[in-house]
Amino acid sequence: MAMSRNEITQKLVDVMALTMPENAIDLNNLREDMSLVGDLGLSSVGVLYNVIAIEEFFNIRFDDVGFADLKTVGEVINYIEQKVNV
Amino acid sequence: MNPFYNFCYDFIYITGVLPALVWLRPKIHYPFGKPCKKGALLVLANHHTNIDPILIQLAFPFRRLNSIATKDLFDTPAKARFFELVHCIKIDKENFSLSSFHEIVQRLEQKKLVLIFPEGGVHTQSGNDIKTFKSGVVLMAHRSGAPVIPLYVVKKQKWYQRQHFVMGQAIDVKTILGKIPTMDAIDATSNLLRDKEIELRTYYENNRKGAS
Repeated sequence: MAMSRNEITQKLVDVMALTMPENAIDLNNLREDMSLVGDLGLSSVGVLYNVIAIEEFFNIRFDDVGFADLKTVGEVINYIEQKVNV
Repeated sequence: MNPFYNFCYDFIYITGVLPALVWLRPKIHYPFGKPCKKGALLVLANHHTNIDPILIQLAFPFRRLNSIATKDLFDTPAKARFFELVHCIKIDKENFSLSSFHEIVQRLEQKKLVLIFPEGGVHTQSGNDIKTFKSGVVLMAHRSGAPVIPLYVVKKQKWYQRQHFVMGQAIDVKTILGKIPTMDAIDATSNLLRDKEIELRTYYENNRKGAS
């Protein structure tokens, strides 16, 4: 099922609300230029955990990408968009 | 897994096991009872030397080990071929790929035994210290639902000494964490697994005279 970029972002906020530590960041102000590590405060395991959750919620697989390719929220959204809109 | 890979693994195992048994005379201690060694297992062990996977094979004599190996070991075609034949799973520590994670989870879902060194590398100079565990192992166990078995490999002081192992009971990470854990719970579980490893080391050190 095709999804718009806004729909993906909203669903991503829902996923991160479940996985992110309490009060880490106001997810309503999530921007695409935010870095996962620097701005969202995710550790490498935090990134992995979020990616697993994204896979579950979006029913996709991150199978051809490394963590170095996913530095910002925008890059994650790009990847999801590319996978869900095949 | 390709049957040819299984054949190669078994061939290496059968030819090497007898000399290894004679030389190392492995002894496994079960301070909390013997865990079930069948089905999917995620074995977490300390890492003193590069031959640890070979040593640990002796603690699981009738299982094929799927060891996690850093991509540096796959740097030539011949080495890459060899490590693939012995069922190693390549990971890139600098740019961890999700395909490696899926590969590990898939092998566990296929009821295989996966061996991980959760300290993240060989620690030859650290004595008996057990470093902080990487929390990724908790995610692997949670995602696959495989039980985790902590294993303490005793560092031999002399080449002729027996090889001792201390094996803990299986831990069900999925039951501990529930369906959607928080990051804090994942980190706490990682520390719990490390504590279990330390418990095994302490057991061996307290019973060393009787063990050797």
